Amino acid sequence: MPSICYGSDRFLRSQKVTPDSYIQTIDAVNMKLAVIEGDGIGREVIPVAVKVLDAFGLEFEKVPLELGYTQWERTGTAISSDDLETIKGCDAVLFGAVTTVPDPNCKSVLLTIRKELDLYANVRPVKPLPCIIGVTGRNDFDFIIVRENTEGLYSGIEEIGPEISWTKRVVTRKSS
Amino acid sequence: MLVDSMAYNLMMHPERYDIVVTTNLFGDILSDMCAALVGSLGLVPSANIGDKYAFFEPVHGSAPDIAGKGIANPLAAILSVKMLLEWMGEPRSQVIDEAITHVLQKKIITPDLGGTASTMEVGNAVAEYVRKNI
Repeated sequence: MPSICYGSDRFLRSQKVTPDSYIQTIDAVNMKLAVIEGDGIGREVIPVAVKVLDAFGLEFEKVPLELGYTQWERTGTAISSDDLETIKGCDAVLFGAVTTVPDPNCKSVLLTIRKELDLYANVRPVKPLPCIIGVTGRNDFDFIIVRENTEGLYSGIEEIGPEISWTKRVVTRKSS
Repeated sequence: MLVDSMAYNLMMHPERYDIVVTTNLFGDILSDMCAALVGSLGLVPSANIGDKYAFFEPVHGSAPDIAGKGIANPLAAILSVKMLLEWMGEPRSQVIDEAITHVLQKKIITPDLGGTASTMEVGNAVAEYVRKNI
C-alpha cells in the first residue's frame, strides 16, 4: 500500500495509555457529513454506502441534500446558494452522481462544489480488486494518482472566435 | 516524466509506481485510463481534498439506463466511504477491503460483474461483514 496521507487530523484525539505512549481515536461526534445522492443510480448506491458507514458505529451528524437534475426540474437550479452554504457548514461530503442538466447556463454541480470548497487535489487510488481482472490481466499494482483539480487547462478562462479559440492554462504555485 | 510515456508505462509497468502527481487535464485522462487496470470505471472511488473540506464520490456517473432497477454496483460508493474513513483517520477502515474481498469471493455480485445480486444485497453483505469484524 502506498503510504500517502490525505487525511485531516481534526477528528483525531490522542489518549495517553502509558507514560510515553499514545493511542489515537477518532472523535466523530464533531464531524458533519453532507450526504448527496444526486440522480440515477446515485440514489441507489449512496444509501447502501451509508449503511456500510453506519456499520462502523461512529456517531456523526449527516445532512441530506437534494442536488442535480431532479432538483433542477423542480426548481430551475441544480445547486442553489443555500445548498452551498449548507455544504460549507459541513466538514465533508459523500456524493453519488448527477445527471448533466441540458442548459448551458446552468452551473455544473461538481465544478461549483469543487471551486467553492477549494478542493484542489483529486485522489484516485488504483488498486486491484480480488477476483476481478482488468484489461492487462495483472494484479501486481497498487498506486495513487493525485491530480490537481482546480486549474490547468480547465481554468474556464477561454474565448471562442471565428478563426481562433483559446483557453488559458493556469498553473499556480499554491495548487500545482 | 512526459505524459505520453507516462501513459505507456502505466499500462506496461503499473507495478513501478506508488504515487503519480499530475496536472488537471493529464490527470483526468490518466486516472480514467488506469480504471481499466482495475476492471472498469464502475469500480473505482475518488476523493477531492482541500485544506478545509473533503468530498468523496464514486467515479461512475448516474447511469440513467439502469437507474431504478436496483442492480447498480455499489462497490465504488462503498470504497468512497472507505476513503472518507481514511481521511478521518479511522484505523479500522481496512475492514471495508476485507468485506469487499468477502463478497467477491462469495460471488455476492451485481450483474455487471456476472452475478445476480441486487445493489441492496451486496451492500447488506458488506455492512454485515463490517459489523461482525470491527
